[in-house]
Amino acid sequence: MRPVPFLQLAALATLALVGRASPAGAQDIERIRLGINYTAGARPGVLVMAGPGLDSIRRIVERDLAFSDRYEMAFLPDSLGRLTAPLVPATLKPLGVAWAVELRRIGAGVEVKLYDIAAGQLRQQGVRPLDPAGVGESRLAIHRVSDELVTWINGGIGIAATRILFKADEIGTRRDNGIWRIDADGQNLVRVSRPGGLVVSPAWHPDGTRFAFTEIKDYVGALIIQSLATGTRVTVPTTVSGTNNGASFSPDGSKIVFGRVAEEGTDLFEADVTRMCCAHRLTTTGKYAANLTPTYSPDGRRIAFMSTRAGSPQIYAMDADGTDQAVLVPFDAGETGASYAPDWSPDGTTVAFGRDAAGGRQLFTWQVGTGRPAKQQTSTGRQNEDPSWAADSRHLVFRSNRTGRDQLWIVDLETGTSRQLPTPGGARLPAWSPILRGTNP
Amino acid sequence: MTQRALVVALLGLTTVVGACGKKADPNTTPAPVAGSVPASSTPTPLVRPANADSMARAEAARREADRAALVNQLAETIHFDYDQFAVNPDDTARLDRKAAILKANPALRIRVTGHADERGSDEYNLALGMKRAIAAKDYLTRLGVDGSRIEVASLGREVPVDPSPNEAAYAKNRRDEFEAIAGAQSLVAPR
Repeated sequence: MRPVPFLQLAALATLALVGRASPAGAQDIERIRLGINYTAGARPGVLVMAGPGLDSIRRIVERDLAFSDRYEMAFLPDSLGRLTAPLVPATLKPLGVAWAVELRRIGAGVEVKLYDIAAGQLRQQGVRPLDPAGVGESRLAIHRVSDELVTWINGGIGIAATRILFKADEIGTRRDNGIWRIDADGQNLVRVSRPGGLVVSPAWHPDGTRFAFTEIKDYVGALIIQSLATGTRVTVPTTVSGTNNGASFSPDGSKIVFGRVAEEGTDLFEADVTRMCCAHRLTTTGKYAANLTPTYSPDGRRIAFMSTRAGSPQIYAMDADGTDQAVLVPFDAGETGASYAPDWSPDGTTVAFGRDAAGGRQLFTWQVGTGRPAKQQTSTGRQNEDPSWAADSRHLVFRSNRTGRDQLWIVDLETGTSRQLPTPGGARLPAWSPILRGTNP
Repeated sequence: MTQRALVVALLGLTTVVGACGKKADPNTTPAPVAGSVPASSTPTPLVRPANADSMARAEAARREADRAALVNQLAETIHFDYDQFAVNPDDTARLDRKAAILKANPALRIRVTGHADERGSDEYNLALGMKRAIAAKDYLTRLGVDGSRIEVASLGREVPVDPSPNEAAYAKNRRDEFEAIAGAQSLVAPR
């Protein structure tokens, strides 16, 4: 990070003077030096300031915008990010930020204003019902404001109002510790599966209110669909033999496709989860072959999956009805590393997967239909796999053992920035939610 | 008569003696019991009942030990190379013993459960564990064991015997476990 120019510091000191109605002395200047984390660069700079009592919301929005990896954030300590008078955009111009966000209490809500600093104009505003405490479930409404800001600034898709499901295990014993969810910013960790049995493969329903997972009891892995709001569970019919796992919902939520590990082979099946019936087989490749971890294309017409039908695990695809099965990601037999667990991006352009490379397993992406080689996206650690796309089709959450144990990491494919999601114990099999709308729990 | 048969005969005798020693209902005349003889004509036992009980207990313990030894052989774990499901040559003798026990005990049924180490995804390892279980079943059936007596299952990487993240632990965790699920109350040793 390059040093913040003095001129920029002076500009912010002036802002502090306006906002706090108190002289900006040497102590303020020092606080600015410590607090600012802004470096002008290719990405637009953004500053978030808030009226009294909104420090928690300001910090959450600030961090959400940073985690979008779209902006150079000017991180402010609460003392500098707090306004007692309306924000004056002209005072921020010397700082070099492109956008400023102002948050202020209005009645029972919070007024959100977005200023274009270069133009010195207010671009967008709205009042949103937000809980100033910014804890627990109320965080989701704040994340939605962050996502609105991303749309206002870029017309892009924000991913703050999303969550990640994952399987946890205990430190040391590595015993199964159920399925948990965590907000995409790494807060608000909640266990969602009940105790008992072994659980794997959480998968979001596209409506964001339910998830599927596998519960193994008495050597049988049944597919369960559970409501996140009520905990109500339904077992998918015909998944009470073998071990049914790695489920993926069709984009319209009407079907679920999954792998069944059984004596006759590990094959893909599809079931109707609207009528809760009619499971049928999609692949047949023999008892020593495996077809696993299916993922629908966003138009619902194709399914990518891993198969060992040619020996080495590689990425194949078929039509959603099981026809036209063929290699999806090209590989050279005997040369290309084994490839696992594909996930199709929400924009349909890319498939991400884990592949053995240079003695380890790394994340790769492949542009669908281009014929170009797959691109390696990670190089840290020896076990990086099970990628799951964010709704913006530029972030992936995945499992990595780069710290010495299984943990969840997020990488932004456009900037290469990565961060760890703080989870207790081991964490793996992450599944990134769709954008969680107002009706989501 | 073998020693085992003698003990069985003595046990039977002890039972009869015990039954005869039961206090009679004074209001009824005991009905004759097939195979029994009047108390007055009961022959003197060859050994005293206390000794018979002791011998019976010893024999029962020996039989249980024999049975436990067979169960242990049946339960011996076999191990696999990384990401492989072929039975290792080192483990064929273990599987041969299991096949012999299964063939000597037609009522015996077992479950083979395949496991994997922690490398790789849960789903892949569930499939790999199943292939390991099937590999053991196929080996046993090639030796003449009826496949319907062998269930297969997989727990993948979910239940490690050693949770340590190192190669020694991984080697222990890549395994098939064998468990009797029926017919193991009494077992005959293979000839």
